[in-house]
Amino acid sequence: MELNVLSQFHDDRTIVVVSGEIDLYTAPRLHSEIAAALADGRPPWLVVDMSGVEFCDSTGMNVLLSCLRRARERGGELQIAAPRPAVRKILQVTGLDSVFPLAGDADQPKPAVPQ
Amino acid sequence: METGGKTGAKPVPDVKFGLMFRCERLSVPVMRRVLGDTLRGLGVDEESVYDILLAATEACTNVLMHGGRRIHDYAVLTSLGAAGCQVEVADQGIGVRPRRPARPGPAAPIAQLPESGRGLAVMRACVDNVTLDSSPGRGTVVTMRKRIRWTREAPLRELRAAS
Ligand SMILES: Nc1ncnc2c1ncn2[C@@H]1O[C@H](COP(=O)(O)OP(=O)(O)OP(=O)(O)O)[C@@H](O)[C@H]1O
Ligand SMILES: [Mg+2]
Repeated sequence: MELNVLSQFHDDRTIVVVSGEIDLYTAPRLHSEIAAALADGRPPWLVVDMSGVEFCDSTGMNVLLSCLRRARERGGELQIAAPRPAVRKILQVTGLDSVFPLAGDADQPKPAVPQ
Repeated sequence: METGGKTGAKPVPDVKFGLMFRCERLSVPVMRRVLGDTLRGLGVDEESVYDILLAATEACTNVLMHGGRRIHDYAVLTSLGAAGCQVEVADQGIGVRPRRPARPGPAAPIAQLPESGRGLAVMRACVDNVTLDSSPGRGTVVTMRKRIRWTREAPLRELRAAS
């Protein structure tokens, strides 16, 4: 099982649907796909749908963290949606669960859609 | 593997197997596939398998990222017995270099959060015990030990008795 990344571009945000396994082997591709979604001229609002991710390690977290930083530098946000146990686990053991906003989480502000 | 205990458990592992991988990124998912299938086949419960694979992934990633350019391969040696599972990841690379100043914790502002430095913490969260044995120029051995749960179908008598 490898990694599949599919970006759905909308006017106000990009939804990046990720499935498979995120590790040292697949991280470079995840990084370039998300970086492309955050390229100049695109909205810096990203929802990374991780419902299909079956494995994720600290290398994957490093990629998401660098993309989160990039999104915020551009005045946007990167949210994680639908994490399964594998993603919840790595978020929790790295303490990054308090750093990444979860999409659809009642506690999280919805990304303000820039008008 | 230290399996000696008050219960008088067998002091040797029931199964021991070693894998050698060429130093390339693809070895990391392949290691997971082979180690995971073998552990499942021996009756290790799925949650324990995941924790072991995550910890082993971090250790193998460190070999590839920090072992240096001179090494061509590394070893993953696994022992399984009633007392649990031990995974050793060994390389003959440059060894662990002295640490840079302490990194900020996860509570630090996002701009200060490092984009690395979490692998060992992940290993420690996934298994009961992690040791890192390294000397400059003589490589690194990371040893991870974990008590595990067994499925009902654990094929080895000794292991089934422990479940
Ligand atoms: N096999 C190894 N050979 C040489 N140094 C190692 C090895 N394993 C670990 N280290 C050293 O231990 C340090 C800590 O490893 P750890 O996995 O916690 O963080 P990292 O690899 O730097 O970052 P991350 O895992 O988040 O990408 C490494 O930076 C490296 O210096
Ligand atoms: Mg590491």
